[in-house]
Amino acid sequence: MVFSAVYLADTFINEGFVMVGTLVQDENCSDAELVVQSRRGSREAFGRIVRRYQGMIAGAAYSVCGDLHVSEDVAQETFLAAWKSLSGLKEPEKISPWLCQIARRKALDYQRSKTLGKSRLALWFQMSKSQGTTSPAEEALSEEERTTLWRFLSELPHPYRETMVLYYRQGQSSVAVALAMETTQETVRQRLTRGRAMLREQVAVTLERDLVRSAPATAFAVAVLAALPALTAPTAKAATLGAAAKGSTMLGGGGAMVWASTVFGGLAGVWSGVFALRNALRASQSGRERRFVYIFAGLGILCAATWVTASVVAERMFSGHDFHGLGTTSLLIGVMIATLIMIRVGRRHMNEIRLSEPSDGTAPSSPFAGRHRKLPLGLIAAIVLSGVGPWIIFAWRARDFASIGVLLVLGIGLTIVGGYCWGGGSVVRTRWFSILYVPIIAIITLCVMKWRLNEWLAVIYHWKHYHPMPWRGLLLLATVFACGEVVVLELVGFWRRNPFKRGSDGSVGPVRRLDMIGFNFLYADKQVTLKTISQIAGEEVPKLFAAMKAANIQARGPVVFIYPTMTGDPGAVLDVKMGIAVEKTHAAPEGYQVEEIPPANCQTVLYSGPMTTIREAFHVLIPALYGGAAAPTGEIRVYHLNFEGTNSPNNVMRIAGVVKLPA
Amino acid sequence: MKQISLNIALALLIFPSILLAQTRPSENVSIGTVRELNLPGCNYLCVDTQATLRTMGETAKIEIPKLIAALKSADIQPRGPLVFIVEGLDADPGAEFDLKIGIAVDDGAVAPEGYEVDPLPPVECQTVLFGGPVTQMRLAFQKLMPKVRGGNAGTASSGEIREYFLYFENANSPNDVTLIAAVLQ
Repeated sequence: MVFSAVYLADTFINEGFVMVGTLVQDENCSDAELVVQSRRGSREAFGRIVRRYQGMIAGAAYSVCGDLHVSEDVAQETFLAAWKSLSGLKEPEKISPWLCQIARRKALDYQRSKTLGKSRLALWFQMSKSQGTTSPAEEALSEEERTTLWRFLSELPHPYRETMVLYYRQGQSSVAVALAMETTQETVRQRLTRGRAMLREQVAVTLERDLVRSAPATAFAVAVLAALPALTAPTAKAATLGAAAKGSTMLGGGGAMVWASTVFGGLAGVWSGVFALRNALRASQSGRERRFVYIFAGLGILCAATWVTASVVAERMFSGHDFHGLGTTSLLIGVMIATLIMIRVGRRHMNEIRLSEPSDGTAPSSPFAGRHRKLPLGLIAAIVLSGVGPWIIFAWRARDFASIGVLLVLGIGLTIVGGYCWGGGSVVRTRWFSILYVPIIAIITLCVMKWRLNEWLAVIYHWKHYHPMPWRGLLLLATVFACGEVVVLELVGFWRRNPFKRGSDGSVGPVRRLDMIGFNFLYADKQVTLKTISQIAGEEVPKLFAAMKAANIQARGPVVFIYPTMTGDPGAVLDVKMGIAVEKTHAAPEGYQVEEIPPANCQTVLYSGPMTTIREAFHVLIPALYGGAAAPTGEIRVYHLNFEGTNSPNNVMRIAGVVKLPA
Repeated sequence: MKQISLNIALALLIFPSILLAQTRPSENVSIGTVRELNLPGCNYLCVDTQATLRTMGETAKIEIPKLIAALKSADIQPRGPLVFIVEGLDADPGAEFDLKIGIAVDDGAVAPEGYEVDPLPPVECQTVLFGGPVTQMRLAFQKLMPKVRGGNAGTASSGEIREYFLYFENANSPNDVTLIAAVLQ
């Protein structure tokens, strides 16, 4: 079957397979002369016109209706109609395009009604058949060949199909085809070249698909097994079962690729899930935190299940409706938004736990230890791959290597730009990349969907006709894709958003690991709660300055609050050292102590705003402090670089969590 | 069915990564959001000078120790951070502009010779908080200046820029913290 199809198509392409008949060139009369004679009632002249163009007119009908018998009926109808209305032909030399036009119209009418009025000629033709006369088409082609021929031709767009049919029906004369189709010879030649290329592609695809489908299936293996002698060695049995399994997998054909993608994607997902869970558990340092990690992981699985359920429900609920695309898209966007909200709320809750829960002594460590420099590029590569990866898979399955090349270049380019932006130390550039990434991926998505996706799907799923996607559908799909990208970026914490709604409320910078210098610290030990700290600081700091003035002590740095162990519980009593960096030589005034604070490596964040919203800075700092490579000691230092009052937006603080570097 | 299976793959790929969200790379500098603030006025002991973008660092290296010495000699307690006030700043690195280097002091402080105590009026500013080496402060300007130029209706830059050195170790220290303020009219 496959080989006959290939042979047929190849013959058609390379040698010009003549289906019904060739142009009869035995007359020297021009078309115009024959038309004039026919108008005078000459049946012989009209018969010469019929012989001259019967192949072409039947071909024109065939290229519309795809049935050789019907095309001949249509051709007969056409000539009858032409005979009746010959007087209406204004330019007798253009009889061929006129006849083609009538044939196309009649073939379309047939397509619409699927019935033809039985003409006298048709009756005669039927009678001829019943008398044992076969049509030229039947003589030339078997039923299977006719089916195969139309299967290939029907894949071509109509202008290409008609050009090819007329060309081979009309004795490979591009001049005659150009005249009949009322176009130029150049156009005819172009359509022939492209049409042949399309046919070759179709043959290749059919060959691949039919070979895969024709591979022995499970039944084959069963039959072989049944034919084997009763005693079979275990190893042979295993091999046989393996072969049977292979056969059953191959049975899926194109679907096997989808299932392979699913299995691969699933395994990758499970792996990343296990890795993420392990990382989160290793970074957590209390039983409550670990419990929340498990709950959060469960919520992640729930989200995945919801996504799948939503897609199944959408498929069943909206299938066949006009709003199918819109409904499905809206449902999936809804699930994505819910997931984003869950992530944000979950992260916030996790930070709250870390702030409020004292460590149970298990030192957190990160699997990312010592890999900080490689991590950003790896993450960016993963993000970019998630953007262009699906298209590369589609292009690969459609064997569109040029598109794979373009997508790879775009992906690698975007990764390099991302690596440069993220690793270059410029927050401005990093944010630009964050802002530009989603629109760039959305544009790539739109371009791919508009110009390549239809062709890929046509090849992968053997669509007969291209169904160009409307812009509305494209925009919806691009929106879904962009939302997916936002989720991915959100998951990896790519966007460092300012947590404040208004710029004037406050500002939190990114987390930075700094080596803070040591200093001589004049301080007073106090006990505070998070609720009373502002009030106590308001009393103690002026006292400290007064004591310094009295003792003639010069400040050598900012006011610093050191919390040896800090929790986020508002009611918990905290030890705090409230003091200021001073010159080394001074003795402490009464009620104060002087201590040498050693240099420390810290995860730091710069906060500017009222004391009342400083919690936002902790929400940024804590995940980095506990999720990084270095283990936190639990000590938090707050450097008050500018203080104008508890509620002043001009306050500036550096919050530093002291860490121990890995040995 | 194919669509559903692809969705399963997508779901399995994306959602378990939720827990990976905690890892972020370290930054070399910290640039906060641009905020409009009302900065209070004060008296400040300052010295008037002229500099270009190229010579500003050198000028500061000479003038700041002199200012600190003058404070000490006059027994004046600083009451705020070191401030640079720049007027007529141009993108041309060779163009000269007015530079005042000063430090907030108590009311009634008497200026030593060669210095003056000026009232620094309260102002409305577009500000950005920069943490990192002073040599990389241009990154903060890159963020601040477009906001100043395209600012809110009714506000325009007066051309005065203030740099408050809230924490300073040395010009190349990543620990330095500077508040950059573009004064609005």
